[in-house]
Amino acid sequence: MQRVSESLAGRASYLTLWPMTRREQLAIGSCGIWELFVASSKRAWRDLIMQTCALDTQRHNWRQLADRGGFPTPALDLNHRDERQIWFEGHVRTYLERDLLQVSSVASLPDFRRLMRATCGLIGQLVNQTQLSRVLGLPQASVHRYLNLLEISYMLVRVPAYAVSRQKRLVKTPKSYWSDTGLALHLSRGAADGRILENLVLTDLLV
Amino acid sequence: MIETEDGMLLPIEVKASKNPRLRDTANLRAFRAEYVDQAHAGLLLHDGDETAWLTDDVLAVPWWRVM
Repeated sequence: MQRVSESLAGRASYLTLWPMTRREQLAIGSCGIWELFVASSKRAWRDLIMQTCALDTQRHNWRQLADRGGFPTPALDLNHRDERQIWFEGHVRTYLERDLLQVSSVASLPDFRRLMRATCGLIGQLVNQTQLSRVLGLPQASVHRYLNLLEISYMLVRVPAYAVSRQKRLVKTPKSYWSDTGLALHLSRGAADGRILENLVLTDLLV
Repeated sequence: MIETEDGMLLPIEVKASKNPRLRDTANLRAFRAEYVDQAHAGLLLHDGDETAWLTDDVLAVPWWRVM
């Protein structure tokens, strides 16, 4: 797009393609049956769930699902963890060395990578930028900027706190999640715990 | 939490346990007490097999039955 000589402002539309949900991977739909809960009375929920489930979904190990993530290649084609780790490492390198640089220049890619890893360990938590800055030994302004870059490049997803006032939602500290659990687990080298299941639910809601 | 265009709210809690208990509904009930008009009930997603009302406003559902 950068090579296009004139601006396409007003003539371009963008559709965000998030990593595949579980139902997309199983080819049984686009996302969870959230619509059902919103559109019907709570008295009907239980029966509707049982009717829907009889048709299309079975029990699944969520830790395996989280480990594979939602990028098509590791999710559908690579059955061994070692193969997926090689794929995720290649994805991170391509992101750091090419994609990120198209968005903005970053003075130190190793520092940026350390921040990526640190934020993967903070999934489902309120991110304290001052504390993150101290732990990583980076200026707070850099932490602030790098987090914004992660967010606009669709790596990090920040969920604002709920408040009736929309201004208050902007002021309160958001919780942080990753757009892909497989990538987050690769970067953090951690095990899938309850916060990762929470992240899986969030990514299903993004679609 | 899901917020609809008409301002209704669906709060969701996620627990990785297989047997959610009454105490796991505390956050959802506190939320509903504050937003009683907008949120009629909440979902507690868990890793078990049972779908059941834990209270009259919290439905516990296996995550894989929803997603």
